[in-house]
Amino acid sequence: MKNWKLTLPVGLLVLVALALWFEPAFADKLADAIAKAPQGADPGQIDPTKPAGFLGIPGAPVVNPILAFCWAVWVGWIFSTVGAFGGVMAGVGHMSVFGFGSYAGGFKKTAPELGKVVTDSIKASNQFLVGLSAAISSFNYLKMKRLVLPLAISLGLGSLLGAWGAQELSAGKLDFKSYQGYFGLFVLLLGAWLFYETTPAGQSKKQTAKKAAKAFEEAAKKIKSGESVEAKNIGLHITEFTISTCAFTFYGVPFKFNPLIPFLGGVVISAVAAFLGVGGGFLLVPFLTSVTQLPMYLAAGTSALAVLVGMVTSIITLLMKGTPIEWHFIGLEMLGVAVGSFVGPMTSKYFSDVWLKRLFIVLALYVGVGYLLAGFFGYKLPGV
Amino acid sequence: MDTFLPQTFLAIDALLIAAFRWCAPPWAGFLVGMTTLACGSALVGRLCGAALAYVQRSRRTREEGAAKKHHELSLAALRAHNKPAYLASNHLAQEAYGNAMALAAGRAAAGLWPACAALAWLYWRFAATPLPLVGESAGPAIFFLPLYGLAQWGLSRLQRRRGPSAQALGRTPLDDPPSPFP
Repeated sequence: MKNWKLTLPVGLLVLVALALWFEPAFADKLADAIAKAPQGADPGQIDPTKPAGFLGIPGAPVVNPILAFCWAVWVGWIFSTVGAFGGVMAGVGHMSVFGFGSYAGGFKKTAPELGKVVTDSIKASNQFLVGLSAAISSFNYLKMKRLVLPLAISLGLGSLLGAWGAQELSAGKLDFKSYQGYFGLFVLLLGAWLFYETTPAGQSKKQTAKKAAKAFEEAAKKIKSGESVEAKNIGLHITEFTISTCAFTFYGVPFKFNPLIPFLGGVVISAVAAFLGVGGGFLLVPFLTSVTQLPMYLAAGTSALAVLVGMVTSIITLLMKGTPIEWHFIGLEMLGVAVGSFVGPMTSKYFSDVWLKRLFIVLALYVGVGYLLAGFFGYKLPGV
Repeated sequence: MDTFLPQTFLAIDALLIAAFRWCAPPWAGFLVGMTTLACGSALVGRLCGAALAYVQRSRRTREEGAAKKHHELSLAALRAHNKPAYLASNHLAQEAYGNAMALAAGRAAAGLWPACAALAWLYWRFAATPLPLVGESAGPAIFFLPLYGLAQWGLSRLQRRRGPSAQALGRTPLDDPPSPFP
């Protein structure tokens, strides 16, 4: 497709704008859910005499904008210092720190429809804050033509299906407690992975790779310069693309993979990202480099398309399902993330990467266990 | 503090609504105001992104430099038909890339927050107000988002026309393609 650099972003914007055409329906869906909720001052009830809070619901938590901004600064600081866990902290903010989670959970028995609308809005807030930033930053790699088209199509289709399917199956159907439980499970798995990376076994792969790379670098310096590469072998050349095989050469070295694998990987990773509002872009590149063994720059560009497609699909599906969005809240949080990203590089030299990772492992274990217990077993740990 | 936030909000509201009152016909005023708001959001976003890129420059150079270095080493390994060395260097490049992506996410947030704030203000300002062409069947985002997209596209074209010095601001190794790429 010619001029895809213009057609693609314009097309995606048009789709999002079309989805927002349905926006007046959001107020109807929320208003219907509020009307069905029992009135009163107890938890799980709507008190119409109280001032409007989150989503304009009377009596809903009113978040102090300074608290929201400060928490977002914390999220941005984590992003720029550790490079992971920012999305999880954003989710913790929405669910625990601002009190939206316990508010939504209170409607499980009294007004389940309202609880599900609030839960979907919390999911959307996570996604806008984390996923949109990742999608936009990935777009730069897409612009630089660093992609393998057959792989991008396979991954993009999988991402589209995963993101659409996750929202179609969960939007309007998932109560907050279940969402909290699954979020806690993801956080526990992330914490376990971070912990594994600090163990000798986890470190060994990186140490082996460093030794191999260093050894080759030393050897390469000793090799006389002037090696010539045949022109036909420079760059990427697709030699075969069928439903079961994608073969290409890069610098004359053959690579082969089954396109169904990135398709399925795209489905799973996008589904998780769309369902929870975290992950996605940060998981796709490691998946691509390990499955297809593509050079990192090509994997980054190829996954960018999948991230963008998955994110736009997820947002459009949520909007078309009538999920209300608090734009001022998201805008304030994005500003906080930007400020945190300012502060992060300045403070990183005062903190050890290893100790920061260990701190986040402890946090991940506490938050993960707490959300798992609260979501699936109804047992609350302090502060979670 | 009780009156500070409301007064600040009203001051910002007065500033933002001014462009909507520049033209007498309501539809023209709406279009001019919306265009001004979209362009302003895009410009402020780019300035914030550029400022953050400047603050992050040394950390970015380190992370993206590591990614580029290991990537180029992986290409050299490919040229030498040394697949284990290629996989090792590629793995290290991918790790460094993850850190670079996290910094990029912060810059993206810096670029996007004005648009989100503008949307929030639009929904508050034009709540239950029939809009030109669409009436009450759609919200203000249906006008804002396409104009914002156009504004971003226009600003990127302008930046490219200004030449290498304007583009060089904030560029780091990861923005520059390695030698095998066009």
